[in-house]
Amino acid sequence: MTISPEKLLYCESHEWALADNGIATVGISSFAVSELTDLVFMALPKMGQRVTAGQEFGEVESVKAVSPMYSPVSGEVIEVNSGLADHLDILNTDPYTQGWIMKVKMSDPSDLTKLLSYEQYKSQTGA
Amino acid sequence: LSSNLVVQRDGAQTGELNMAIDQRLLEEAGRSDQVVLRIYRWSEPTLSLGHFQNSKDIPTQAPWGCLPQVVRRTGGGAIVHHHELTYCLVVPHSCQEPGKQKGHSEHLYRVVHDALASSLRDLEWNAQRSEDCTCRVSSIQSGDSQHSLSKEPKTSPFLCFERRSPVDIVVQQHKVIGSAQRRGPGGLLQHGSILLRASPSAPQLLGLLDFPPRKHSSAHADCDAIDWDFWTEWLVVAVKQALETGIPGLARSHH
Repeated sequence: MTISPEKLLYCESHEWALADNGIATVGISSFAVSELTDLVFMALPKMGQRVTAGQEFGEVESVKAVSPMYSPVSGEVIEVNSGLADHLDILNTDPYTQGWIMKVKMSDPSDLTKLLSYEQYKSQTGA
Repeated sequence: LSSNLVVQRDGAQTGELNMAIDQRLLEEAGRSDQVVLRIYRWSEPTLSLGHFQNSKDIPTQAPWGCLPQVVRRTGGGAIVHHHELTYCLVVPHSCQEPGKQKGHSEHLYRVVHDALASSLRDLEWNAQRSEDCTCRVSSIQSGDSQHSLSKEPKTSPFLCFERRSPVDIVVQQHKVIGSAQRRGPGGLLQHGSILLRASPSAPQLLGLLDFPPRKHSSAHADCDAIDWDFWTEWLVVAVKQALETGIPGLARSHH
């Protein structure tokens, strides 16, 4: 299934979320990937890890900076895209489908109401 | 926007304390529009690892491998802190590009490094941007810690001063100033390192004072002693000038 960026919700800090049946798939936007430029490392969350909306769940290192990744929702990590670990270049080509990072069983679906729509996010980034 | 520059001269501290102070400065960033410049040394020769580096990857024969170690919050390669001056510059997000919360600030790198290089040229060192790059995009591997931490690929030099990025400052092709950044919720931290003289633990990495300037200057002592006070004040003046030029609204400083 191809995920269209228009159907996603976004954090101001450039993470996206797609909710389905209480499960949120999470990644980082193409704008974030372009800001990061050359990706070097990524610290992924662990299965079973509790994440909190607005709090750090992982880190990404580009050539000249370490940047935190913030979770759009609260809940438990039930799946991690471990394949991403060996192919960070996927984020350059397909950040919304193959480039998802984690799936979270949401503890509070109202977290989604605090996120930006595609149009709002596009306005923020000027993209 | 009206920001204040707070200058903190901390002298020599242990590695753990230096990193803890910097971390706290980053955590406090964004609570005000203050920009903080902290300048410090290390109470003993210390190896600081980049955030994603693993001490298990230190080459077995490296003389610097037996130094006390700390891990920086910033990435990049390891640094031998010996005859070296370190700065930590914390800039709130409100003073930077709006909406940018990922990746590095090329602007901050350039304004600071250009000011430092210019100031070195005033002291008759032929300091230039590297304009070279050993950057590489690589994969990551899983680990056993809280996150699935990646390991440093073997292809990149372990030491920061053996790597090159275009904004690094070099003298006679030797890197003498390097830096790395980390973003936090309220701001951005830039760690910078000015290599003043080669350390016996890493003699291949020459510092500024290992190169005679084109003509004698007060910055170049013809003896082994390093005038730390001179270099600290040199750094304060150069960074302050960089910020006032590069970050509009940085109006006044507090010492």
